[in-house]
Amino acid sequence: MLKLPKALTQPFSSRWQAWLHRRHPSGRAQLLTQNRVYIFLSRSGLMFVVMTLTMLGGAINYDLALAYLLVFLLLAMALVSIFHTFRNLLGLQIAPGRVEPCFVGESARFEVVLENAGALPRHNIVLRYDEAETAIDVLAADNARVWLSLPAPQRGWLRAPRLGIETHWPLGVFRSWSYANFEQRTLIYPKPEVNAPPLPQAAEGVGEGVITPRGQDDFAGLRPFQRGDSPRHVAWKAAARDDGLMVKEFHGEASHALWLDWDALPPGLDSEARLARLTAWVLMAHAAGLSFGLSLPTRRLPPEHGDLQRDACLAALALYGIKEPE
Amino acid sequence: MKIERLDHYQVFALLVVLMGLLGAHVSRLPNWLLGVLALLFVWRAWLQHKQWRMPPKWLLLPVVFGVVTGIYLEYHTLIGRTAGVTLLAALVGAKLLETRTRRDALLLVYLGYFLVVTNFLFDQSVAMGLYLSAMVLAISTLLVSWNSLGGWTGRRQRAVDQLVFAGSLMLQAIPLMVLLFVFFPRIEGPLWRLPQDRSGVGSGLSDTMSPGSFSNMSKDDTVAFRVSFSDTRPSQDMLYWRGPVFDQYDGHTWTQASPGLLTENPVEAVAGKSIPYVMTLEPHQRAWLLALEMPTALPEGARMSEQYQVVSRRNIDKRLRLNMQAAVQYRVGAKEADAQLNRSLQLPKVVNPLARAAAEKWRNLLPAERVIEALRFFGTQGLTYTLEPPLYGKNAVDDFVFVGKQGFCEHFAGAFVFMLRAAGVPARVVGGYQGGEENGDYLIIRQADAHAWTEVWLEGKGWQRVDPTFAVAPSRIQEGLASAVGAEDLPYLMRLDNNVIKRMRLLLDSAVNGWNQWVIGYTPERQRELLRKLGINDLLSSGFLAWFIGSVFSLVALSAAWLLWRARPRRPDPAKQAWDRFCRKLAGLGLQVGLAEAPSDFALRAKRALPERASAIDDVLGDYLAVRYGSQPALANLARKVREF
Repeated sequence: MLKLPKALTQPFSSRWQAWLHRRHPSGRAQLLTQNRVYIFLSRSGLMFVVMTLTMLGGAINYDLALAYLLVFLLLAMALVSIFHTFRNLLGLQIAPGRVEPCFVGESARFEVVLENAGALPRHNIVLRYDEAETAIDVLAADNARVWLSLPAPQRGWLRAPRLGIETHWPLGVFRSWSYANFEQRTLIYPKPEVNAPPLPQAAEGVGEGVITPRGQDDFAGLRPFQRGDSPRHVAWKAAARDDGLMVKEFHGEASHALWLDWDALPPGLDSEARLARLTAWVLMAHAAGLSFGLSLPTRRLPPEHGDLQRDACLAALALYGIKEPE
Repeated sequence: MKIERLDHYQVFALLVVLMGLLGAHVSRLPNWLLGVLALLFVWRAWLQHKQWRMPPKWLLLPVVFGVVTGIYLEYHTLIGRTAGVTLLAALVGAKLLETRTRRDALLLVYLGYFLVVTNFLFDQSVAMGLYLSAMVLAISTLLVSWNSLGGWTGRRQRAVDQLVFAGSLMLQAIPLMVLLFVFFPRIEGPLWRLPQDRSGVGSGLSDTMSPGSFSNMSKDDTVAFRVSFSDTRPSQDMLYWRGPVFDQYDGHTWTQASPGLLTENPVEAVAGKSIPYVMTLEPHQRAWLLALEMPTALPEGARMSEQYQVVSRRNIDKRLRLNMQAAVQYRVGAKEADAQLNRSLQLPKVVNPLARAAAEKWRNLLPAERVIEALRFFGTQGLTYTLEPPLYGKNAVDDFVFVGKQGFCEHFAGAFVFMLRAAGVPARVVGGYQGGEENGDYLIIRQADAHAWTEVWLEGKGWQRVDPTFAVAPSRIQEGLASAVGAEDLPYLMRLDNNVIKRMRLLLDSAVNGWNQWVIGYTPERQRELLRKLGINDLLSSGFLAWFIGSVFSLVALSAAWLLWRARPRRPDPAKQAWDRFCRKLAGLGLQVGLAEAPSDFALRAKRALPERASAIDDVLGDYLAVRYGSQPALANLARKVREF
């Protein structure tokens, strides 16, 4: 294939990208309007055209009326299919959904929500983030959710690239496509150390994995329920008043808490190794239902328990030394 | 591009469709190849059933090589009509064992279209038209299935949906197809010719006449040609469709001299003008046309022989639609060349002494009187007209006229010419068809209408038609074959009794005729004719382009508008509208409803954010849910509460 010098293609390519970006501005939900949906022959469509033209040659040469009829029927069907293919994307609303963080080496998952306000179903809509690709149908006046997985090579923020949307339905002769810029991003946590040493001893001699029974006198207040909270701590009376689920909080946990401390690690470890070990410990402590705090050179997270604490600690580890983007 | 494997059902559906595609060619393929194809299909189905891997290339290549060699040995070529189709069929069979993915299958399906189109080299009947539609529908359904996902319905329902969708796509395409068919500029072919394209012997008239050659055709009710007259139709006894002229006799067989071609049409119309008509001639593989006696205007490219037979440059190997004119009262050949007249007096030396002697007695009469005498002789000899005459010996004319006395038209015409020649009158046998069956506004002329009559030359008058069969069995000419012979011997459709089945067959024939006129017979000439009616005199003129492009565009725009109108978003129901309005009001207060947030979740969040409006929010939510669950009176409340919120 002909390769143009980069000096020539570079300005063109960046202009092209800029043009695409203007046409498909980033934002939350995007409606695929007429000026954002493109259509052209697909690869098999090109083959189809070559085939019909060959048959047309035969029809002319042998003066075969039925061959003319077949060629024109096929061409007419292909022409009609343009509108079906175009319609399949036109008016579809695409919005970013949830994201699922993951550890380095795993796949980060991004959700995309497709909403079809139209009265006809949409068939075989292919969504693509680079090589991550998935296809889905969206019923008439309905919505559909799709998860796309992207590999997570390094810790920190993983930003999803421009989302490609395309369809070949119904005949595959034409391909209709569009783009959406969501700037969906998710956190990639450091890879936890394999066979990490056991958790360090908690301060003040509290045994590993032992939760001191909490008395009513330690009650400190109510906070909204979070996943991972023990049902024993739910304030059922408050729940009955229709205030949503609230959880009772207690004093006195911090003093027995486990501190996962960057500075307490052996001096031979480099910073990524430290992050890996701390990540493993966060997971271990959370799994054991412990209350734990995290101390990094840049941040300190006071001891807490539950999923929120785990996520906060993992986020702090993921972003250690990384500048937060605007 | 991704490699997408076909699922189980898609593979079997593909196999069935390919069998349908190959099915139409079965009679053209050699038996051994049918065996190989059956084996390949079973092999592929078995592999699919067992989920085994496709055979490796080293196993498949020798098979392909063997099959191609076999085809070459069979036809001594790989191109041309039959060999080409055979090769195509073999390729489809071989490719089948490589087909795993949609891309492979796509190639197969495109080859399949060629299998469909190659049928038309052999046959362009109405049945083929129906076959074409069925195959395009089947292939389109496959394509739709390959470009769809598993979907939300059951497998059977999905297959039905895809079939229905492919069908609707086809229906939507038909107006456009008709436009393209009518307007696409037709070019006079061929651009190239493949060897072996001239195909074998057709049915119909032969270029020689011997006893039995016409009576054998009386059993054949296939259509020879159809004719429609635009204004006047001549009476039945004037419908002589002129074919080959036989002027050489060896005692057994009448043959054609190879005559020269005339540069000008010598036929003069007498009493009345020429009658225009359109003939749709079935292919008969001979280089002549049939024409009503006597032709005054010939179709493009046709010429007239010295014996007034209309000939074409090539064998008629496809159905032709011909515009012609004829004068049923005519004058031709008054100044005939001596060579021609001498040819029309030639007789074998020794045969038929009795007939020769009888005819020589007429020599003292004037030539015109000799003809009348001959007709009188035939009328009084006690001859009968029959479909199954006995076989006569070496002196066939003597045996027929004096002994057996039973004959069909070829016996009458042959004996009559023999005797006139013996009496010194130039005469010759004309082969062709006589009569025709009326069906609506056109005539059907079948092979069984084949007839032989004679032509005599008289000084000052030229060539005159004389039909000795008429002297014996006038009803044959006036009312058709069925009235002249027993009906039981005739093909069913030629009989006179008019029953339901015959009517249905005639109805079917008019459908076939319409097809031939408008689909098969849509030639460059016909196209020009039609376009002229639209005011377009030249293909590729601005008027033509305006018509063509304009109509295609407006049709395309119409169908696009229709589709988008069907797909338009429906107005949400009033409850949803009221709820959306409520959400917009809350958005104004800084509360955005989440994409996937249920109304009750959103209301809960809103109450927490706006505790002082909690009861109003609860009211709206309550009414909204009430309407959702079917209480209509709540709708008015809901609308009011949202308004007041």
